[in-house]
Amino acid sequence: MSKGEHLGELEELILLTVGSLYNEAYGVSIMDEIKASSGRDLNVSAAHAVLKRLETKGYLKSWMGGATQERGGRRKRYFSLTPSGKGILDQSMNYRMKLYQSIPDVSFNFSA
Amino acid sequence: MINPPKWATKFLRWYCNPDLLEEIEGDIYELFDRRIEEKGAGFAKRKFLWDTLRFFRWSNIKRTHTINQRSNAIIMLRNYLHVGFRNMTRYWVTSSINIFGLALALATLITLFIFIDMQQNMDNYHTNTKKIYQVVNNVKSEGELELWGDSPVELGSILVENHSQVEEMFRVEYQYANVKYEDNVFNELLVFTDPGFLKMLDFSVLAGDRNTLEKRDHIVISYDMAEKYFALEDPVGKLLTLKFGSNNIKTFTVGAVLEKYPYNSSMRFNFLLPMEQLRELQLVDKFDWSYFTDATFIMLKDGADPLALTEQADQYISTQNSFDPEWKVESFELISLETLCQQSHRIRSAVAGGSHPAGQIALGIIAILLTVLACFNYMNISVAASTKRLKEIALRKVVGSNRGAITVQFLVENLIQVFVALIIGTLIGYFLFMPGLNSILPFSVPFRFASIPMMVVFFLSILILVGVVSSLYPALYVSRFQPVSIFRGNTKFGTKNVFSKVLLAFQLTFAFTTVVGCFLFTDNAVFQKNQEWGYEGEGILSLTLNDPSQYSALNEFASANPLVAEFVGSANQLCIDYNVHAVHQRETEVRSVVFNTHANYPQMMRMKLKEGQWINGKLDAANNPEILINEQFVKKMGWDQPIGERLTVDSTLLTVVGVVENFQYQSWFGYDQLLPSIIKVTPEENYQYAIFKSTPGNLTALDASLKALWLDVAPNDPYDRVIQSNAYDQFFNELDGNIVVINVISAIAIVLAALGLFGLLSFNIQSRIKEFSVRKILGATTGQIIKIASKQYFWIVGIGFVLGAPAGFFMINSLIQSVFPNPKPVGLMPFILSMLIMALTLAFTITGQLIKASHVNPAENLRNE
Repeated sequence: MSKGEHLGELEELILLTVGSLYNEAYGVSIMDEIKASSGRDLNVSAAHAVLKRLETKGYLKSWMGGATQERGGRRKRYFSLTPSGKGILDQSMNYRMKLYQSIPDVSFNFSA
Repeated sequence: MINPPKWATKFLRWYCNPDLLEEIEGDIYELFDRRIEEKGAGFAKRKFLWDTLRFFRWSNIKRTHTINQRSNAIIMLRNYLHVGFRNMTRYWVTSSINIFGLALALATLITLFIFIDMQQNMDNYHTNTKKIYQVVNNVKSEGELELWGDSPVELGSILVENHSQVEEMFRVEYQYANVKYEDNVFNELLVFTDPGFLKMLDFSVLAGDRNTLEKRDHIVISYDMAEKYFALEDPVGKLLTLKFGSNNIKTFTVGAVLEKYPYNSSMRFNFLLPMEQLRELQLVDKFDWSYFTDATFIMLKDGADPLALTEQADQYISTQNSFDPEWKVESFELISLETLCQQSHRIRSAVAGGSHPAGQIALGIIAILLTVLACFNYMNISVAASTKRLKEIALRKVVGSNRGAITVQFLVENLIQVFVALIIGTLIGYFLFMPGLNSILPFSVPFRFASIPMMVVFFLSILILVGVVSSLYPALYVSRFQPVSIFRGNTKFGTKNVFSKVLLAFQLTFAFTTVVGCFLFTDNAVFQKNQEWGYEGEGILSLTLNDPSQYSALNEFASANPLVAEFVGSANQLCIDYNVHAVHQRETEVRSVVFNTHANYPQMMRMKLKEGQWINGKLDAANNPEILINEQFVKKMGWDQPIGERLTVDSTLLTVVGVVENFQYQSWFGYDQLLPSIIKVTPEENYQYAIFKSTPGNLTALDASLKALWLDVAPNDPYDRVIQSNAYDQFFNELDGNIVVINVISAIAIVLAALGLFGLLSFNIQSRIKEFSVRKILGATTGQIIKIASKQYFWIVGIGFVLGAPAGFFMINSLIQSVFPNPKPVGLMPFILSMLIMALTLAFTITGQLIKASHVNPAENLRNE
């Protein structure tokens, strides 16, 4: 992995959340999802910043949704994974799994 | 429905990139709505605020598309600038009147500001300025406390010795000496000082050793002196011979030459010698606490408190008092070098030059008044000029401009003009007023501010203050009108604007004040200049003698030389040297000027004998030597028959044999009361001056041959001579300088008033052109129309005269009365002249406009209706 493709911890978390929310991923929903699944309190502005960063890196694509009655008729910007986003997630998962599996069983023996 | 804080949303919309605004705002609003339900309005609002702040980051602020996103305000500003420039060029007469008037006033303001700024920032260039203090003392003299710059000669060294917070000191002791290098001999003011002088102060050394003052027999000279004595040679190492008295001559080696003193240096010493030499040369009788040197300066360590030192120094008061019970120091005071110049007017015999603040204040007030006048002018003309643009205003309003936008438009347009005026004013100041001021002042002020921040602040505040003051009113006034009434033709202005007229009246009042003041002042100054001298200075040359042998040598020369018509010796000379004595007649004491001279002196000076006869020159005290008195003496004593009266001077009884016309014995004669005077004969050994009268037209030749002779007669003494016809030049120059300043100021005031009148009148006529046309059709003559058009302005001019003329009279008259003891009685002439000048100027200004009004062609003006 070269330096430019490095994924930060929050970036990875948000990338995963966007993937899991499929077509319903926008600022507030992503924030809520992270709060619900990991208990992490995120400011919505932080979510926006990371989303924008991921989009410029090409891992996410976005589009404006339709106007609704909610939030004063303001549209939402939805995000979804791009193939390269999927690729980097796979890569990161593989890497982690590989590392995890290479941990010798002995080290899980906590009773000793 | 609960809304988030309004200003928070405004803030968000202001900073946020419009491309991102919708999604960001949407998210925050969504959260806001949810939080109201969950935790209430207060919490939601706080959180909302927090969110808007959290979004305030560069990635959200930065605009992604610059061209399309430029704010409307910027676009409008460009438009305003455009329209402003177009208006300026199209109505170039109006705008140049506006700009020129303002530029004149601003030039005055800038010039005087620089002058005052320099006075306020003297000596600030030394690194240690803030730590250097002059020790001055309060001395009780005749029951009154006086602040003296002179301080005990021992004080400086004892302060350095006993008080750890005093780092360094130097003293200043003035002495005169004849300084000689080869053929150059001049009488010079020397300064004896301590090595601290060049340690504490930043004066840089051009050549030689900075520590020269620590060496015996060495001398430091200024740049000017290096030029004067050595011209092209290198002075360092050369020998200067100093003659302090006929038997007190010593040679010093030039150790260092100082660079030219900076323009804002208040201390400009030409010769610096070690203080020790004062003792060695025995120039002072007692070198102890009873001797007062001219100044003591000390430098404190960083952070030391001057007040604490003042208290500690009190212990030396008793020492000083015990040495000199006649001259008792009551307390010491430390005056910082930073403010020394501003304070030197209250210190007696101060070493740092500095003018009295009254002059600066007066100049400052005049500058500000002129600027205010120019602003008034500007307001009036701007308002009047907008008449032509009523429809533009209405149209702008119809298309959606609100009042604020119109105000901003006019503000911007006016600011452009103020800016141009500021540039032109600076140029006028730089090329005209500053050189002019410098030609009058005895010193020179460079066109420079004390500091760059000061300059920036000054120009910015001028731009903003003058700009806003002069353009806010027009902008607000013009933006008020309603489009409906403009289009229907109901809105008319320029005809009945009381405010404009008040402003104009104010300008005219000020103009009359200065013009009347100017005439009175000039009248009196010319009168002072032309006062009778009471004698003839033509061909008279007085040469200072240093010892009696020189007199006999000159006498010999005079008797043989065809250039010399008459020659006498004298102890005093008119304008140069005179003494005031107490003269007694029995019990009556009269303070009089006593001239000790030769018997032929009064005739040689062509004094005018009123009665009696000339004196005979016999000195025998037993025979009551003969004297002459002046008319003032007779007047003072109230004598009917002065001839034969007896007077006592220095216990010698004298007989009055003649009365001469009053004569001006001092060079600044206008400023002081003429005293009673006596002319009496004195023996040859008292002669201080050799006085020559050249044969007609030969004064220059005589001067040259005397100068050549002097090198043989007195090689160690300067050729120090005064040509009598130039003796009053300083006084005359000062009067001339004052006349120029006051004339320039009143000329500017007249120009401003004339411009103001012109502007108002021309617009008034413009807006009444139809009225005049109709009047013409109905049979009005040219004269009637001129009368109608100018009537209201006659009143304003009249009011200006009635208010301004007495004000000018009282102000200038009280000034004249306080400065000149013998002022010219005020006549009607200055008033008539100023009225005439104003009338002519104003008539000249408005004639063109009035003719335009009277020559209206009704057919053309009414046709378009």
